[in-house]
Amino acid sequence: MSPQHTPLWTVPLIILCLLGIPTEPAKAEIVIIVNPNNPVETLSERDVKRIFLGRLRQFPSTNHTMDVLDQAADSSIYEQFYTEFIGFGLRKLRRYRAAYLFSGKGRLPTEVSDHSAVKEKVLTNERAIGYIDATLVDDSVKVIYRWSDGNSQG
Amino acid sequence: MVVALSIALPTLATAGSFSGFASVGVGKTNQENAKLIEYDATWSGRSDSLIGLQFNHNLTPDLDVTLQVLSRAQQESHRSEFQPVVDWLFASYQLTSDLRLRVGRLRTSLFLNSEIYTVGYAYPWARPPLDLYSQPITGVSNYDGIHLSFMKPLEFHDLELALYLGQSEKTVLEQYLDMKLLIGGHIELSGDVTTFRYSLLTGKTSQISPLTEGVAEAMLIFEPYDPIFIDIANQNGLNNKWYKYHALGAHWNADEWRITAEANITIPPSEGLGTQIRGGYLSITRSLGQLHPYVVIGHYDFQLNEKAEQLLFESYNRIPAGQIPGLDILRLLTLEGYQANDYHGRSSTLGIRYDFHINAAVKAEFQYFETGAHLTFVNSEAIRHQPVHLSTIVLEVIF
Repeated sequence: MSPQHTPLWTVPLIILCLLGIPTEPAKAEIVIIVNPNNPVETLSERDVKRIFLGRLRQFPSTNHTMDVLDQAADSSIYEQFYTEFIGFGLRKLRRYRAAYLFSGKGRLPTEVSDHSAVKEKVLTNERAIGYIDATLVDDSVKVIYRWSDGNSQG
Repeated sequence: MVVALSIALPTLATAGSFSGFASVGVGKTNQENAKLIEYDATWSGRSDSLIGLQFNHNLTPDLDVTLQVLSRAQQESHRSEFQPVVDWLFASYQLTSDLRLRVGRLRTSLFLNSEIYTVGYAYPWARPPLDLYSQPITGVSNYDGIHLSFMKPLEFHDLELALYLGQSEKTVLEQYLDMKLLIGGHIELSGDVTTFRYSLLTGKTSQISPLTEGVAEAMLIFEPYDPIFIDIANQNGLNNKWYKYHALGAHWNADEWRITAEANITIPPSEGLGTQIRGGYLSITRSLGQLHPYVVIGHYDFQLNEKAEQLLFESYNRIPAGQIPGLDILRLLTLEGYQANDYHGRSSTLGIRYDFHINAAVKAEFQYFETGAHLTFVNSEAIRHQPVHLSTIVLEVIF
């Protein structure tokens, strides 16, 4: 019985697997959404960051306190949003929020399960603000900020 | 206010959210017969072990209530181990987009970590550096009163102005500390990478301990010989005098580096047994994935008011030594007590934090104190002139 030879083309593939080179997941374009009745039309990048870090509690130029929504902490959009847009690694974010919460500085965002849950909350609550994948935007919500892998648009 | 909120909160418990934090720490020093923050030469878990539970409820979009109960293994007063105490209990109202009002039991914001002093998960060290965060200062951390904060975005930073006033009453290691009125505030600039804060706290302070009261009473026995002993007795205590605390802090956190530096000066009233305190530290942390090694260097300097000591020396001119044996012993012991309150030292810390879980970390640190004297008021005389090594391992959890 002659030995079976491994095809040559599989060698680079095996090496790549052994090196553990990850395949880059597709990056979502993220949008910040509010209820269509919300008077706010746009937000600056800095305002968005301040909102999700708890430094801005009311919509600019209004007296309306926000209900800030987070997606599930183990979701890819949560990680992308905080790591790449806000600029906080997840552990740094955890430490920051522990300090924020336990020093009585304010509320943390309300965690909801997924994009649909964010849209549903925004649809029924004029004070709500959240982030979702841009491809899921429809007429039920208003986009006030758009971010795509380093490019932002108020 | 605190009592009213205590009654109201249980009825709201079904609608709010609970969270918490815990620290389990063990430590030991290299000294057999001396204690540093309750640690001695055998491993013990008292000083750095605690659990905190927090309840938050949003009554309206603009009005919240918060309760935080803290239970420590080592109590600051005569409470039994792990007896819960209310650390925070306040109502918060968002007046405008910039202005926020809090009323109830709160914490002062004197130092960068004053408000999170008990939340070990939130900072890199086993505990905030003792050079600054020692009990003579942190003893006034809680107060009952009001707090107004104003936040405004500037070009590169957020500006925060805070003003608070209230009253505080506490027994810390045999010392009764009462601030009938405290007024404080801070100005802070915080950005993505840097934070700067200047704080001022001033308090109308009374400080009583069995020891100083005993000395004062003993001095009054000799008042018939000379009225100077009335003045000396009056110096042995502090009654409704203004203490001032200034603090300056800076924090820089970018990429893998986190650098924090803080300094303070505490200015006592010119009368009474007040102590001028100066302290500061520099901390550098490097993040290597889940590992965060750090080094801290610090210094502290305590200086008792000179007036009490000057009066005691003056009494020797009035009644020289050798005339009244009982008075000689009293003056000698009192002078030793005064001089024991003048001390300074330096500390160096080497430690590492390991974030082994998103909600948990373990820290191990080794500290060298040039002198451990009086950093915590505990059995200091025995270790006054000797360096103290303190080793600590702490597990930090949030939930």
